[in-house]
Amino acid sequence: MMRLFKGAANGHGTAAPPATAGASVPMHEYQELAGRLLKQEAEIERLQSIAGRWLSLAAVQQRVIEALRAEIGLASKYVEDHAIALSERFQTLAGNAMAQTQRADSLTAIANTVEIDGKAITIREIADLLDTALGEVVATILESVHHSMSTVYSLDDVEKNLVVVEQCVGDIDKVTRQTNFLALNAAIEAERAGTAGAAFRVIAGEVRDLSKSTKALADNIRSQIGSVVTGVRRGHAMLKDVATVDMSKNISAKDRLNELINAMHQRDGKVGAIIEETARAAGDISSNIVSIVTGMQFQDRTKQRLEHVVDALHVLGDGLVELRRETGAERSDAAVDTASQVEWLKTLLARCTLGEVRERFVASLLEGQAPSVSEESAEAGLEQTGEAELF
Amino acid sequence: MFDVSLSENDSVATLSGQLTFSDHGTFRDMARHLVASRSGRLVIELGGLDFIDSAGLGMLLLLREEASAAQRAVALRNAKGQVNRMFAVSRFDTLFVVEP
Repeated sequence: MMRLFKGAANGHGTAAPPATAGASVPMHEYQELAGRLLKQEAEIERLQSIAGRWLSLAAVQQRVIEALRAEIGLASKYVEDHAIALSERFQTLAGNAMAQTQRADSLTAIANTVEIDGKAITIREIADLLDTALGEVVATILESVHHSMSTVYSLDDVEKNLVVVEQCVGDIDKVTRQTNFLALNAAIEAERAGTAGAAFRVIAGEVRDLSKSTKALADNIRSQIGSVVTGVRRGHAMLKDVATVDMSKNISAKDRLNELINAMHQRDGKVGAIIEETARAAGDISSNIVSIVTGMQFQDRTKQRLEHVVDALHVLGDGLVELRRETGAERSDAAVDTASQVEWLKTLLARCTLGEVRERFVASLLEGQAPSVSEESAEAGLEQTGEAELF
Repeated sequence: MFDVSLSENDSVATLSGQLTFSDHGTFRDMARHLVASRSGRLVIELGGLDFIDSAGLGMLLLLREEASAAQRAVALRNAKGQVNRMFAVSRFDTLFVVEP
């Protein structure tokens, strides 16, 4: 305690009156003055105590500010490092998504084609080729059937004409029979006429011979017609075999081909839908990743704001240092009275839930250690505590 | 079995049962009658036809040929089942007017 007067106090709490050269001061005035001086001395002691507490608080707050500045710097650096790392990982992820889409496209192209003589042919093209080949086979059959039936029609016409010819031969037979009958009658009449009918007998004989020749000719024609009819009917039968082709296998092949083409249509549709969906999903992923990367770029703004906070804290800290310097308190800095500040420091530390950060605060605030820590240890501590506390 | 009916617009031949090689004579007569009808286009109604063989296809092609010579079109109407499949495999839709 600092005292105003060096003189020894008496047993009644009053000081001895100083020696004066002038008029003497009455005792009661002296006692009154001494009482006021004692009160002022007590007031000064009270103010000194308050000032000491304020200075002690300022010293601790200075430590707090330093600790906060260090912690904010570490947190900013930690966020910056991880933001960059996350950004790089997301960029890689976006690249992987695009590559995945390209691989899906390649897979689709491979799945839909076969390679023949170095040329890629789609399964649809193969189906079309098979359809064309089948069409050509059927067209050949139809052409053959067409000609066969056309020939059948012609043979029908021939057969009908032969019937007419047969009827004509029948008419010739009738004429021949009548001619022969006339020749016979002429021969009879020639015999009746005797020698006068000799010439007529010769003519009748000639007519009879002519009739026989005509009959033989008609028989020959009938025989030839019979042969032709037989040939026509045989040709008819052959053409029936040619024209009547079992096309059930062609129909089955066509049905199978149609089923194949329909199946290919459906498969193409499904594959196309999957590819489209995959591409859309990849696009969404890429878009989201771009948004995430853009969002992470705001970390820079956060860093700038934290730097402003650090600057403000720095000014505050400097102000406290200046205050302590002006009041001459810095000389007793090594013996900062943290004991008087323990209660609110405990409250402050209780709010700090991260164990590793709390340890640094304790070292800095209570033990007066410098707040600087290595980034590795801070990061390791954050990860360790973060892992334990996050999960 | 064949039945031919003539209307103001079309000459319609209705086929039923089966159309095979053995029917070529009757079919040809019907076709001639149809082409000579001089009444609109030629329509072959096939709803009642259950079966046709390759010779039947050939007969239809000859009918088309004959109608074409007379500058008349042939329409195949209402083919079903095996007849429709025969038309499909033969691509008759490229040669005739095929109507459902």
